[in-house]
Amino acid sequence: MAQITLRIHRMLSEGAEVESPGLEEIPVSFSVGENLEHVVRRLATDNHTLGDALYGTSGQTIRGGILVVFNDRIINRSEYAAVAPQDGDEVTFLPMLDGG
Amino acid sequence: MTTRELWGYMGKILRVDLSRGSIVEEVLDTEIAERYVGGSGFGAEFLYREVLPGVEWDDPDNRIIMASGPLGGTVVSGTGTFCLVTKGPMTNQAVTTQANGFWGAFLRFAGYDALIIQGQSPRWVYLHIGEGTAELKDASSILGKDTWESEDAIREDLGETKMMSAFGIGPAGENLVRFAVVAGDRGHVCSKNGSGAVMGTKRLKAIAISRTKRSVPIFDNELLRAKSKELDYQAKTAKGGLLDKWGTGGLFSTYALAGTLPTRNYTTNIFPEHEEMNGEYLRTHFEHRNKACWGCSIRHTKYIKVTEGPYEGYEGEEPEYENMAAWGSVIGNTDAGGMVMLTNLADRLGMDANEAGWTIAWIMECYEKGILTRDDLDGLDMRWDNVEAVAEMLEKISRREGVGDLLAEGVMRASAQVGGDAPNLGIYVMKGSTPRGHDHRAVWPEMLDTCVSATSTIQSGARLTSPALFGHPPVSDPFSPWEVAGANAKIDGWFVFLDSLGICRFITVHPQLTMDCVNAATGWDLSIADALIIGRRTINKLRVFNFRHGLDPALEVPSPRYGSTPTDGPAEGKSVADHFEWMKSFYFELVGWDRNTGKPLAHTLESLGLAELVADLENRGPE
Repeated sequence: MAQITLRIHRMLSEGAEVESPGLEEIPVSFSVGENLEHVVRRLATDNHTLGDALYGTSGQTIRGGILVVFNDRIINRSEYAAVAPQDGDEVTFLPMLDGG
Repeated sequence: MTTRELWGYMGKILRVDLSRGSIVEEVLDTEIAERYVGGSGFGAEFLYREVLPGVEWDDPDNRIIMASGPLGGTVVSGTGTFCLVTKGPMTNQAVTTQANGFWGAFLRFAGYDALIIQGQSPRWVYLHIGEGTAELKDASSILGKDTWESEDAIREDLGETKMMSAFGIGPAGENLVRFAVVAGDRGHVCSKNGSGAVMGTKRLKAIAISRTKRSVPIFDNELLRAKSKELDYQAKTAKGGLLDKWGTGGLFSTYALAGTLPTRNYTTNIFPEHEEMNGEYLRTHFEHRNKACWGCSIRHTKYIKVTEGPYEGYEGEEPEYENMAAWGSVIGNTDAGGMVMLTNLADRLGMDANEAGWTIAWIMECYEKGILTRDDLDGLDMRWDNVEAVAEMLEKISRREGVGDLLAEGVMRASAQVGGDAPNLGIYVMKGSTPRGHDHRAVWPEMLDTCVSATSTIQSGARLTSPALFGHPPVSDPFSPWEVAGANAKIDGWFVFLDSLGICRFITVHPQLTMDCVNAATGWDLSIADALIIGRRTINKLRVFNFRHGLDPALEVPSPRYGSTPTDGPAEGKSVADHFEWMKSFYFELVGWDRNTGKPLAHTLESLGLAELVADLENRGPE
């Protein structure tokens, strides 16, 4: 089975105190033919904390204010659903930050 | 003038005329307090009234207005803040620029809401404000000292043993470096649009305020304490408590991953060394001790001692994120200790880290490409990452020595003088203002804001999350011109309103609680909507000021490099240039400005209670 690495910024875990501003890495297996939205949705269904972080309370689409980076390139949320991942791909979810 | 009882205000303004050597107290007009609140608003009002078209930035008739606001010096966290407003040399237009620390609170304890400085002293002086006293003192023995040394020298000169706050200029301000700052309280800076050069033209080295015993009259102390506690909690836990734990440098790596970390003069968007330079790294590898602003519970700034590498043993202030960018990725430096040293050097010489960083990075790229040679650069080897050469160049700039004289003009003017391809490599707004330390090619809201702002720095403060604070949906596509212009317009006014309060922006993370604090202090009943109107009133007043002082909206665009398309990294291929003009016009329309000329429409000014400005706008400014 193929595998992608999902990387989620710890700051997206709302309410949790961030110990480190880094990324949490989660390897995810998928079947060839699944699109990225299916893969992440499946994981989010099993992991409620992750689901809340990415989908919020509405649960419909990845919530606004999140930047999706696929293999080191920012992709729009509209593109994201259609991406067909390959073995070894990486998808990173970052907060759209202000400040500094 | 209207005078009614005002809670949350000291009720007086101190006016210093340096030409005459006179110092007078004036009564604060209640109507001005209600219409403009303080800080940026007071500055806009006095600048507009007193600096007439034709008065240039270096004219003795220019003003420096430094004002706190109704939260300044109260029990609310981070209320040592003040806002400086003047006509600055980078744009020859208005600037509002904030600094934290203690000065704003001490101004209020001395009995004043604002300080207005005018004229030009015949000799170098500093101003000291104490308990019932304000006097100009000889500054000849302090000349040439950096911003930290000046504070120590003034303290010694006054024999002051208690708390004191001094904001002033370093060698860069004395030598009229166009991007000189007004700095104080060891590392706090009014950084934008050369406010330090304006102070230099006035031969005013510093303004020191001793801690006195007055307190701010508060309408409802108990309520203010309660709301302040709630706001404090929100500020401490915002972004997962990141600011408290790692400082603003805690965002360094996140910005690198999002493609917003400016790297090697925007020639790349990739900086793999970010993890060896970020806030977490600094706080786990170097020694620290606390350094708080007035009454702040977050204390996100620290003193730092470098404990490894070529600068081992160096002590100073811990770099904030934008210092880290300027003296790290922007110049290709990968040594954290070197970044700490350069941060402190630039601050102590008294120059803006953003503009200084862009200027140095521009030289480095010109040097790499053979546009500037070692001979052109006074023999300095200005290759990427050469920290020692950068340090020498900063010293030269601060003294306007050799090639430093050219570079002291900032990137836009220096590159125009070099000519050829050089202007295409510089990062600046075509009207002269300086972008903050981010790669805005991946943060379009801030690029738009930086270009069209009336404040010479960010105005709407919109990045990508801000609309959510006000119940609007956050931006879903950060590269949608429609969404970007809309996000900026929706929250326009809020951040300028915050700059009128005398409080640090890092505390005001919760709009309603912020308003609750303002209302508890003043006895007013302002809503968030009212706050947006007050902020927009200030913005529009500054916008009309700028038109009367020669603003050309055609220049409210990024320089070729600033608006270029990233060739690698997360935002590769995203072209802001393709959309910028449309985005700008749409934003103008949304905020009630003429879509083509950018001038505030008559009904916009009238709706903000600025009807008297309509005629002013028609009489001056480019067609």
